[in-house]
Amino acid sequence: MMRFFLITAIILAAFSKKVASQDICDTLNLDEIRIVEKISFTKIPGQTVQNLNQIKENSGIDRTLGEALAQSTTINVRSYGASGISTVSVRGAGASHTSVVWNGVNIQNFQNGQFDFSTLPIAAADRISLIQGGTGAQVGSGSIGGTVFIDNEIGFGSTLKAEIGLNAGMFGQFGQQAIAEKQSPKFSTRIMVLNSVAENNFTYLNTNRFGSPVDTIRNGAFVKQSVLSNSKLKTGTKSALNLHLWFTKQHAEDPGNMAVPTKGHFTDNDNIRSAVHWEWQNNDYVMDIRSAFLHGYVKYAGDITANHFTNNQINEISLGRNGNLIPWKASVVQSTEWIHSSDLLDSPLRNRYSVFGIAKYPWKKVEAAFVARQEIVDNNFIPFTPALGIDFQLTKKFSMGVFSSRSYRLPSFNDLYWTGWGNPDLSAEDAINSEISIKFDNKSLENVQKIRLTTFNNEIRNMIVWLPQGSIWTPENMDRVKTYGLEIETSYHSKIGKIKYGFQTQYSWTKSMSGGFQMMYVPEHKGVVNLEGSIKGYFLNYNHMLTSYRHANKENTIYVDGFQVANLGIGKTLLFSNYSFKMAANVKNLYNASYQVVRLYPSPPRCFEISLSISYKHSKA
Amino acid sequence: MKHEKTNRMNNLLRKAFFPALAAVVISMSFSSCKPEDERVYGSYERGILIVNEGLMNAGTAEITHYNPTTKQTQQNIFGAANSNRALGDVAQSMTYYNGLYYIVVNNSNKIEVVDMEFKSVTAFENIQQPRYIQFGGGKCYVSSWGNGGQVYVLSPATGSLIKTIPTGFGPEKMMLIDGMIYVANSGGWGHGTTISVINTGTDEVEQTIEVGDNPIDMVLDNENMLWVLLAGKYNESWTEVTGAGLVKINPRTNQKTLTVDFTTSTGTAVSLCTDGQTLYYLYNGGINRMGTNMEVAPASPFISGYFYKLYFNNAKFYACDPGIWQTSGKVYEINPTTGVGTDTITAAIGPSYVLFRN
Repeated sequence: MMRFFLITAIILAAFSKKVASQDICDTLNLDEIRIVEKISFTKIPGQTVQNLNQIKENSGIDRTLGEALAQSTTINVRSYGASGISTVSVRGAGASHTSVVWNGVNIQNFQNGQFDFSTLPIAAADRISLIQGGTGAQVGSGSIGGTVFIDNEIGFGSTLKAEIGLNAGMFGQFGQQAIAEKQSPKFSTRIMVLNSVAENNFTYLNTNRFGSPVDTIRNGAFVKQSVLSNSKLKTGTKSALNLHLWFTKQHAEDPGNMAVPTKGHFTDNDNIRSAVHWEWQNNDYVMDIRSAFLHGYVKYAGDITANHFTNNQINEISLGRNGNLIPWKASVVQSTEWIHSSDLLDSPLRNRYSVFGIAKYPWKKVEAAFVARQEIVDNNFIPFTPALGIDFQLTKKFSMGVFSSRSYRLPSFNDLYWTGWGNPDLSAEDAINSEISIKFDNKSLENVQKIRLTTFNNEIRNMIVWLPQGSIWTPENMDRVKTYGLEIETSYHSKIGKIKYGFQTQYSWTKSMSGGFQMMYVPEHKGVVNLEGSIKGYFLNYNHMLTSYRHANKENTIYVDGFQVANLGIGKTLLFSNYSFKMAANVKNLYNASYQVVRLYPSPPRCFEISLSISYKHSKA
Repeated sequence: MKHEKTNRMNNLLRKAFFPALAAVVISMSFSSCKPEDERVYGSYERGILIVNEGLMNAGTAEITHYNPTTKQTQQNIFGAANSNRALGDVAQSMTYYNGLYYIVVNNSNKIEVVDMEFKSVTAFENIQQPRYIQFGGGKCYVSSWGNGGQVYVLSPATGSLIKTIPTGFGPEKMMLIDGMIYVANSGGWGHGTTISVINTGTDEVEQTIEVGDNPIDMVLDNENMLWVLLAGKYNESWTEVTGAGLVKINPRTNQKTLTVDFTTSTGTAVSLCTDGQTLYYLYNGGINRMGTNMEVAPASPFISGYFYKLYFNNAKFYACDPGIWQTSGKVYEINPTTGVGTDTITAAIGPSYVLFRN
């Protein structure tokens, strides 16, 4: 704890001095991918979009989205051990309240309402963005807490790229990556192959056993494979067709936990994701037609064996107007979800239609937007979902954002159709989200300084809870959760001669209350510090995370100790003509902390990794 | 004359001294041993201790302590006494023996041994699916569902295995009667129909008594007759339970003297307790009561509601209510005559076993 505050205090002290002295704009040009990015979603004034690309730059090829979110944000990532699933809780909401949108398509699992963040390698994304707070009006169901956007983008040009990467680490970690990309003025394509394996046979202090002896994880291995293809075809001077294909295959053993070690348990998780996207635009209008098909297969093998085949087809058409006094966009989305599962009766199917519209009103130093979505599920109207956001540019450097929205989550297929236990009469969960942010942005050619202060308030109603009814359990709409809190984010990036350096800090205070108690596994305090520097191709980054204690039961009588974890990365990039060599060494859990994210699930001790990548790039003039 | 005086004095001394000396010795011996009610007890040596199962695979088992005099409740006393160490997964039962509590943690395959402050003393590990403990003949008998069902005989001090005694499937509750341990073979994950009778002298099964479908609980009445609760069994579609009932056994002959059949129901019979004259058990959607002198079960429950386990102490019975299993359950103290609740104890997730330390 002291170490974290010391580092934060030093950084803040240094930063405040820099802010005070920063009035002069210089002519140096920063490598600033953090500032402006093309994104595939509709940003609403008043919301804060966090760009997570930097963590991708600093990560090894086997880094998962769950790890990236834990290291670069204060959202709560709940990991069930090294090979277990990872779910997230944003602003105190539940694990099924964060959606993941891949190239405009929500890939949240509609069977259980969740997304396993350990299954998504961040190497498969060109851009990762996070919106904290309700995004139901933009994204639809399941976005009460927030949304993570994963985008792939390939441009036109005359470039040939190839890259191979290798990494190896303790506890049997090996990763391989190969990328090939060809860009031409009319057609570009890229294919990426990822393979990651780990034994995860690390030692840990078994705090469940008398005397807390050292035990070793058995049966914690995983194999994760991914093939990703992105192609773009110019279909006219104003239009292009995008095709995204993504195949993933994962086998993860389940070692159980400290109290109940298991043997022979595993999960297979295979996915086929495809999306076709045609875009057209002229000076005034933008049109998008999108069609996607998602197929998932999950097999659980253990005390109980289960097989699930999920399918989701999504079609969307949208039309928008640019350059007008009031830009607008309207979309119609149709989707069909169906499943074959050993746990669900018959093969249920759900038809969904939704209409989405946004109108922005830019006026001098104010920009306002009104968004609305109406969804119809199997001929039933889901509550109308509006959102209103306003940005005020108070001064040249200070701005304020106000955002309020309604969000919802449809019951999962397990909630509705679990054989003998599901409840087909469930209503959607319903939430009202509000937030106010104050931002300070001071950008020059030499420095980028940012401070953001956000306070939020959410109320989630009709939470679905499984209750015993005699000898069986059925889900009911009953719980009400109120969450509120504060987020502080600062960042500073600068350059002295050939030295680039910077830092980013985030802190969040979150209360998530149900029946007078803090929700399980929602830490009241979370903090992250990231330091980075580079000179002449050498780079160094340091990541420090703080998580306060969390309650492990609803009445808050059991808790899991808080923890601090640090990671260190160092490396060198060499350029030879068209070739680039990048060598890096990482130390995960630098101070060898013994900690549990989820009660009784041990986390890995200090772990050393090395990685090497070689890339080739040739561009025609 | 002088001699006479001396003799008289000696007689007086003899008569007075020895009774006085005896009085001093007796009073000293009393004063050196504090009266029972002045002894300093451990923090959790008296009161009501509730074993909470917690959610399976979540490791949220914990122990609640309730002081019926002050009405004060303390949750998670094991974690508090042991630097936030988790008790484990699915705590099943707890037994007091020789100044120590033995906590059976079913899904963690272990027995935690704690002192009267609940500080860990030792732990007996690698016991497959332990359920209950019965001490007898200076040994620790543990019923265990693992490996088809057996009773382990352990050293109470070290936990070292003395013997493994195979029984029927799912050995559950045990009772010590005249040097014999009666084991209810509840069927566990399958089907059981017997009571095993173990001789604590030889640690051999001396007799196996056929009783009926899935014997799950046992009590002794005032006439030292053993009553066995049969859980019954589900039909193939898991919609109806048949075969539930009570069986009365004379432990002197190990012969069944009475069988009471219950009507069919949608759930199994679960728990049995008694004040010696009346039996209380969970079946058919509530708490039922039946006199030990009766031969027919009541048609409907005495108190309706979903309860998990029943216990009897000091002229009251206690019903465990796990609620929604995700939040704190309750233990209700109930007047057995009127059926009216007289106290409510807030426990933790899944209260399942109550140990009274009067």
